[in-house]
Amino acid sequence: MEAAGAALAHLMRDRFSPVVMVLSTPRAEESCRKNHLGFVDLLRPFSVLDQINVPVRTASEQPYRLQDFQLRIFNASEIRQPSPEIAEEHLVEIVTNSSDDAVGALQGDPANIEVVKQMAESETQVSWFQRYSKSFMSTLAFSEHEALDHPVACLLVVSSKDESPLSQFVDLFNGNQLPRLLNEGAMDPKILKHYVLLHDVQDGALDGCNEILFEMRGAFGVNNCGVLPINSGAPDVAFQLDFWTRRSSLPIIPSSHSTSELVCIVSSDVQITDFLLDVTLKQVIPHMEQKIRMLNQQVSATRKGLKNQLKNLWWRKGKDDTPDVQTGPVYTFSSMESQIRVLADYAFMLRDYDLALSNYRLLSSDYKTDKAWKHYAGVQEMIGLCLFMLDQSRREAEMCLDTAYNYYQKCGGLTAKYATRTALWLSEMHKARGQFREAAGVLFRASVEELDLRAGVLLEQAAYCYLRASPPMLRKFGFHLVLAGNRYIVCAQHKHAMRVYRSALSIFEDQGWKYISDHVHFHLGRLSHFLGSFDLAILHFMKLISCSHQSPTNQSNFLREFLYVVQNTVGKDKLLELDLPAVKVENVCVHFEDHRTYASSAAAAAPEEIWGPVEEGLLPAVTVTLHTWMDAPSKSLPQVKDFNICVAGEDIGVDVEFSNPLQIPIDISSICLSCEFIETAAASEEIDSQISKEETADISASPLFLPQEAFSLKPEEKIVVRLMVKPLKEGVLKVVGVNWILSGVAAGHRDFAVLGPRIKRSKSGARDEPLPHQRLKFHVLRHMPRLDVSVHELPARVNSGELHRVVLELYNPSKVPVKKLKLKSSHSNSLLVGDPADLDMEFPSCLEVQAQEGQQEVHNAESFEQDSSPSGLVFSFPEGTVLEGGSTVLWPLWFHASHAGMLSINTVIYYESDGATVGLMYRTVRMTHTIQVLPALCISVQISPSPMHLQQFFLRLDVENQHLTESFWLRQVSCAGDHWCLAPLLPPMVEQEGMGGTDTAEVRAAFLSASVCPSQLLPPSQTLSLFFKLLVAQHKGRSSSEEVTSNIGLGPPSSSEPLIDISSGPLFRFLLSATNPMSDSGSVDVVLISEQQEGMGTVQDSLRVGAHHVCHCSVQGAQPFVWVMEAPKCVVHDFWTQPFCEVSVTLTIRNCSIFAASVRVETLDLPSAASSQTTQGGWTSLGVSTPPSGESSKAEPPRKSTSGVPNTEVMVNRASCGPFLWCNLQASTIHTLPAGASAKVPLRIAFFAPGSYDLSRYRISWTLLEFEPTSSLSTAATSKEALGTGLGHPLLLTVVQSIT
Amino acid sequence: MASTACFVIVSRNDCPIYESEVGTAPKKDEAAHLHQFILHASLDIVQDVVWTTNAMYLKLVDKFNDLLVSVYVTADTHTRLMLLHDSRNEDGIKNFFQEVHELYIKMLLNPLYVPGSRITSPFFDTRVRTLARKYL
Repeated sequence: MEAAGAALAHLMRDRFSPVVMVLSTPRAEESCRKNHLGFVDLLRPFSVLDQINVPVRTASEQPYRLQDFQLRIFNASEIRQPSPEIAEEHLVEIVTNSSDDAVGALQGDPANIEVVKQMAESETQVSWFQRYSKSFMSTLAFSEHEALDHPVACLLVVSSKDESPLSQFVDLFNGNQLPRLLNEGAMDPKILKHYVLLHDVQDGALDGCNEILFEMRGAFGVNNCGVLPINSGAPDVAFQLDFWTRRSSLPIIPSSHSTSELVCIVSSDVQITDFLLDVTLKQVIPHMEQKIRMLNQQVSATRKGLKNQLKNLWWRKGKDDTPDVQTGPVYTFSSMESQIRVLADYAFMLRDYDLALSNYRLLSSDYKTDKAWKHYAGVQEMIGLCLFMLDQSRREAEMCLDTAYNYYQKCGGLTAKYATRTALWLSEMHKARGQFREAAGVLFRASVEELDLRAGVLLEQAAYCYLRASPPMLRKFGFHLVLAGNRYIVCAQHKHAMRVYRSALSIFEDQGWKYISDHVHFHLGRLSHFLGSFDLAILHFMKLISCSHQSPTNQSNFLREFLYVVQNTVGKDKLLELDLPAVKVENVCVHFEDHRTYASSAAAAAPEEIWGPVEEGLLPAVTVTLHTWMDAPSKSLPQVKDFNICVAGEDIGVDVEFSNPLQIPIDISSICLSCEFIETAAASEEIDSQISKEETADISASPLFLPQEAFSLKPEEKIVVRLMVKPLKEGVLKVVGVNWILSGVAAGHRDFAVLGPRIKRSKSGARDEPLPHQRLKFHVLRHMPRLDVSVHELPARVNSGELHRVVLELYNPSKVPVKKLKLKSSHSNSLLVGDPADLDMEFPSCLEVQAQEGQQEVHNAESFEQDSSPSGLVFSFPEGTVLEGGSTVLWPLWFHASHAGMLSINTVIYYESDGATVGLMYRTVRMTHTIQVLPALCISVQISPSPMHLQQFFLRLDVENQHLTESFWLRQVSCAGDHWCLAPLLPPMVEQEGMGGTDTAEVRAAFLSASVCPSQLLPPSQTLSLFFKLLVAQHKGRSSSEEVTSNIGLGPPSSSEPLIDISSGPLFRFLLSATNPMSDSGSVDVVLISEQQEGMGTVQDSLRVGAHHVCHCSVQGAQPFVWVMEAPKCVVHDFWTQPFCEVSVTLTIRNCSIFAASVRVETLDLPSAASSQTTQGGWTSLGVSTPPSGESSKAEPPRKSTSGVPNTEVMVNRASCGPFLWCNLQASTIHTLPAGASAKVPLRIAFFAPGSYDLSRYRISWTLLEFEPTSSLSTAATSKEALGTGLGHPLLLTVVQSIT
Repeated sequence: MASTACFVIVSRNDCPIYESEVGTAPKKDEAAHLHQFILHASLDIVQDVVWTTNAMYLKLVDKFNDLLVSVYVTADTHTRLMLLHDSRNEDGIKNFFQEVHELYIKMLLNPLYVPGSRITSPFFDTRVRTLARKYL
């Protein structure tokens, strides 16, 4: 048998050793009391006899020897089963007292699994569990169903001081203080008696006793008497205390004596040892031997052999109908069954296990047939133990114990405790054989039926068994520990519970089994709180409170418990690393303002890239030191990047995202940033150190201003809060984390864990840890004024083309003045800086033509132009503009959106501080505005040359209202610049001389009402076309008046609405920005001005004026050449005198293209008959009915389609009028006609009869010189025009026969 | 009849990647951790049993009082499908496991699912519950 088995066997031998009963007189006890010990206590330490060699002969003839032996010595009063209540109380006390031992047994932290394992493996008999199990078993001793605990011998103790000791001896045994077992007949009252005379040496010499001893020997027999002298030793406290406390086993029934304060005088222990040795060897063992032999003989006679067996069977059969009572029949000591039991038990105690086993087996069948289940189970238990001691048939041993367990359990009631005892034996057996899983199973099964506390103890042991199993079953271990902990909690064994839960924690923590770890943390938290370790309690509860997977009830429970603990312990004083609310510590957004300041949050949110182009040219150039790979890496470079820069007295905002993972609302208050602030030592100001020290002392109390936020988070809500910090002094500020108070109780804290981008160092190749980002470090500089900038009256939605005056307000809240203001905008063609004088005027009317100011305005506009053009559209405020502290400056801006869409205008204002004692050189304010521009009027212009005049064009203006809902009033059409002027294309006002004056007035009124524009109002999605004449301005002499005439009001001529001046003011400047100043003068810029009335009221403020530009309209028509033949309208000739009339005409050709060209003019003869004879059906054209007189320019009706293309059909028709002949060269060529130049070709015509002639019989063909399609960007359309021909325009000439 | 059934998928590193109470018994708060405890503890048994058989369905491996634990082990990743139940319905449980295994394989085919991470797909959840109603 292995070591473990041997240990268990030894334990069993100890437990099942013969019991010796002690009956003593009060005087004898009194003598012992001098040592503060009872007589039994005095003897007990010496009851283990380990150096003996006794031959024992039981049933067999062969004697064997016992090397060691033990007696269990009890007072007669103790030989009874304690009541269950007292027994349980006693056991509870043991558990309670051993809680510290249990912790002590763990040499280390219970959370460490290795420590627990070591403890479990080194389990010894002195461990608290073994103590407990021993005590538990001893509460079950002295049962009537087993004879193991029946006293084998009785010591009758009488003091030598007693009067008449002999009668005392007799009285002792006859008294009613005998145990119940003897009185009730469960055991044989005729037990071995040994008479002891106790003599106190201090009372006198031993000699006095001899007399009594002699008498005793005479009365009770020589061998049955003895004398025991005590109190002979010298007092030796240290030795004595130690000796007795170590050797004495705890009595079942707590006795009144306390061993702590005794001053003892004991006899030398040798005497007691000798005494017990003598009793054991000469009395107890021989008595037992004798009894075994006797009983064995009896059993053999009655039960062995076939005859006896049959008889027994018959006899038993007869009792079959006995009712199945729980305890079975009562067996008295004289019954055969009891006799066999005593025989077997004595054999077991004397270690003759074979004999014991055979008798137990014999007995078990009897009890089974008797249905005495308790007795049967007891016998089965002993069979199991015998088999174990014999180390035979393990399987059978286990089965027997298992049967015993089941039958004990079946009996129920108090008997069930024996089941537990059996289970303990069985588990010990499994453990001794290394079958830990089975042991655990047995213990677990026992725990199910047991009371809470014992179940807890058993479960804990089961857990250790799982741990010791190989491989260790850690999860089972943890589970059983938790089960044990649960039971301990129920029994208020908090220390034990704490210990087991802590051991279990390491198994369950961070495994992903959330409910489990929550359960463990919850109980640990509660236990820690109960046991007073508050830090630990808070730690455990902290892991609980952010449990999103739990039900809302649990969540609120956990939170409440946590808050309760915190409130009762640390309160708000201690900052806890709370997980509730969840803070995104890796992702915080920092808002601060160094030299860049933002006018609005929208501007701050705009990405940094967009500001680069805007600030270009505005900021002073930064000297950037360039590094090449040859330079040594500069050490100072990271230093520079270490800190952000901010200004004292200004807020730094940190956006932190809080989220509530729970399904219950939580309240959070006093949220603020936690910062570290190091004030810069004012080293340079040593002179003022005295004063500054005082000052700093005052202010340094709060160098930071931290506003606190509070909010309530709804279930699973997520919000982003901007927390502010305002440094009031210069120094280095580091934002560390965020603090808050949860539900007004617990102070929480989280550090920001902002990591910078990973930097890969190419040299080492190894990837470094990302450096903590410097985003949260600030270098606080001295005060620097910060302008508040706002823009008023800027609408969020405008129609395209609308013109708005907006007001820029600059406010300097600081005391330091600000100068050198500059402004730059990303959309300089949409936002212009106006003149301060613009502010004073009413908005729409300031645009109107003001004759007296005209010159000045033009001058101003020119000055602005000079400002803006060279420095890349930076507007510098006038030199004198200084913003004093606390002052406000208003400045007008003009806004005009030409294209539809979303327009985001980024504007930067630059300024410098006037004072020298500021932290920054300069600052900028960034603004961004997003404006939605809706499509409104869309205009297009088509210009075609007039066939009549070279310097005249027709202009068609198509206006389309693209707006979905609004309609527009068209107010004015203007043509910008000095080169062109517009004239309305109106029907000629025929002066009818013959009519009356009233009629004339009517006609005139009708004419006036029919203006250029048929309807001024343009409803949504409607199109309107307007026609104008475009003239080349002769700006030699009359420049200013020409300007005026280029504006044409679209209202009825009678309307008195003033025209709007586009040659000055904002409109002009917007036009300028829209046109390319480098453009050639040949193009036309047309402006249509519309207006809208908002609402029904005609208040001037609500009038919205829009200006629509169409720029660079080329006057070039479809052909690169225009030509006009000039001829007299009417020639009077006398054909009688001269048969033909010769008229000279001039053909003027102008080159409109940008290339030089060679032009060839051909005059055509009469067309062939075939072509001339084809007459068109239907419409014949205009020319015939044209009145011969009147101005041809006015006679031309407005034509759309024919304006550009020469009409060949007309010409052909006209050809039939009559013959005429060209009298010049048939073709003449102008070899080089430069671009834009014109040439005249003189022609002559001969007529032979009076009539009207169409002079269109000529053809012009041209070749563009230097025309290279590749170099030109123009399209294929132009390449076709490199060569081209055109026929002559129709021109009528009337020849009249002169009358004279 | 109210039955208890708690279904858990345990990943290779012993973390539960999917949990659901599929029984018809009304859900109790204290049951949640008890079920987890039992399932977690029975992993120890599964660890032993899995080497003793070729079958993926390990049948009953553990019990705690009247709660039984049946386990199905996938071949490839040693993922364990565990069912805690109180009714003895071996065929149904076997079918349930097979169907859920199929679902799980489909889950693995999803390129956006990292094997061994928590299964959060609501589709998977609904399907598992449907299967549980069908077979258990």
